[in-house]
Amino acid sequence: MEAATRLTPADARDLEAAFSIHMPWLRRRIALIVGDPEEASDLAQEAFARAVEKWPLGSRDDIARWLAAVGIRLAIDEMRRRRRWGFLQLHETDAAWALQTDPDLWRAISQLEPATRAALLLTVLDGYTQEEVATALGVARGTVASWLSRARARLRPVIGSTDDGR
Amino acid sequence: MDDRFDERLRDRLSGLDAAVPPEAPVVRRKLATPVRPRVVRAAGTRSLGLTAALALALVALISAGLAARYFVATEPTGSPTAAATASTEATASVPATPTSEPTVIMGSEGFPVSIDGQRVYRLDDRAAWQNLSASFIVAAGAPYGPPSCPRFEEATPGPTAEADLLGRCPDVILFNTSGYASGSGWSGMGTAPKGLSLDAVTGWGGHIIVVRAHTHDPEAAQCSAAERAGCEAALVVEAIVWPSVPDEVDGEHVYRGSDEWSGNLARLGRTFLFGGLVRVQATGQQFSECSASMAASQLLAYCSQNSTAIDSADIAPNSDIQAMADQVVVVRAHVNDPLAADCPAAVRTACEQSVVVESVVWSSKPYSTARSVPLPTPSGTP
Repeated sequence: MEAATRLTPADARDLEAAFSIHMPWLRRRIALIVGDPEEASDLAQEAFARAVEKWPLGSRDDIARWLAAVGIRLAIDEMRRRRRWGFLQLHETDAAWALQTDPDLWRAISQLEPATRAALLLTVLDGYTQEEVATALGVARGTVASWLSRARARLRPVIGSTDDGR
Repeated sequence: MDDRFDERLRDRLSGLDAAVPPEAPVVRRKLATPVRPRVVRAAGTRSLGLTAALALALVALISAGLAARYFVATEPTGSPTAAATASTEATASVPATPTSEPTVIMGSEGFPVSIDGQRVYRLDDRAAWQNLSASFIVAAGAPYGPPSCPRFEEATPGPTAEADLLGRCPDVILFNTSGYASGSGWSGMGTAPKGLSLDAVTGWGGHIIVVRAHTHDPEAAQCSAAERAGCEAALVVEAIVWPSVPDEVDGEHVYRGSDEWSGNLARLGRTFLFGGLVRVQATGQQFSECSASMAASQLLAYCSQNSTAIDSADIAPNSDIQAMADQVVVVRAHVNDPLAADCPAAVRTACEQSVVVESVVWSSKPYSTARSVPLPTPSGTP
């Protein structure tokens, strides 16, 4: 209950502001990992619940980085859990939005390991460095580099095919 | 890889990102899983007030649960970890029998100048090895990861041989050895060799390796006339010859970092031998589960202020082998440590998959002067 007494009215206002600023992108980013937008909402919500425990987190950049690290790791763990508990595998229909938008790309990134997928999204889409991703995911930098290399190799046929007309 | 590839990938991913449906107004609970409960927002509102209140209530509940687990976990568990004695003494007490060691003469710069009587060229001295007709051995700096390839022309048609030998967007760049002795970083231009996989090399990132290689590869004959000279000059790596990691010890296979990444270790269901270079690096960030759970802090690499990796695979902090930094080791290890049962549900899988070292069964100190080049150019380009 220490966290409850620690939060001031100003903290609550900051939290609410942070929620409105960061929740949309965090949810979208997690959705690109787990596929199911509803699941992404739950996981993003959990990331914010953890932020409450830690509040205040610092500057806007610090908050974004913290939420990305925690939210993405929650998503990765959820995917691993689903893989372990086979009956909880995501149905393809849960990601209908992605299949309707870019089926080839979605199927290709769906085949990537969750952590690999996360590293790819954070570097390519959000501009995080390999070192930042390594810190966020708690792995060695070389591991991230290796993941990215594999991911790009796997995606090359898909990304190349559109522009090259192959 | 190349900027154009990344640019196109970013465009495509942005399309998916924009297509994520907006939040539904009604909360839908997923099928219950054996994990801790999540905070669920009130239907139709994004107010954090209620969320925070629910979260704080959960904090209290979770804290109580974790506290109880902590006190249970502090009791002796009889787990394999409890008996772990990772030290150089273990090396002496276990007569491992890897393949015979080569005779290595070290130079003043901290890497070999001769192996088994054969001269070790430096990658920098291209003129000295460029026109050798037979295989030779050459020292080079190992990268931490793949290069970016701003000059890569992805759609350039041409013989496969040119792509292989000229390495327009290679997985691996080897660096000149200049700068290693002074610790100032890799210097000069790198070389993109054929035949060397990223898996094989990232475990040595930041250090010198010696590879057996050749030029004038037969495949050069398939290159176009315009590129023939470049193909002939291309460096083709046959093997990493120094430092070496035993393939097996006393008849038991030694697994490597790529086995961890691919999930092979998690499927073994027994202890195993695991080998490679020990690297220690600062993590620089702490997460709530690390301070809330003793089990997590002992099993998750990122919970340690200085995380340890063997062959680029993260090792559980309770493995206590940081003192062996920059040594090449073969360790006996396991996953699915009993402590994982005490990890918070959110990270339990990660705890279960964590590699825990039980003992060191073989070690060597190839980098006797213990230096590595500080994280130079992971996206460096030739």
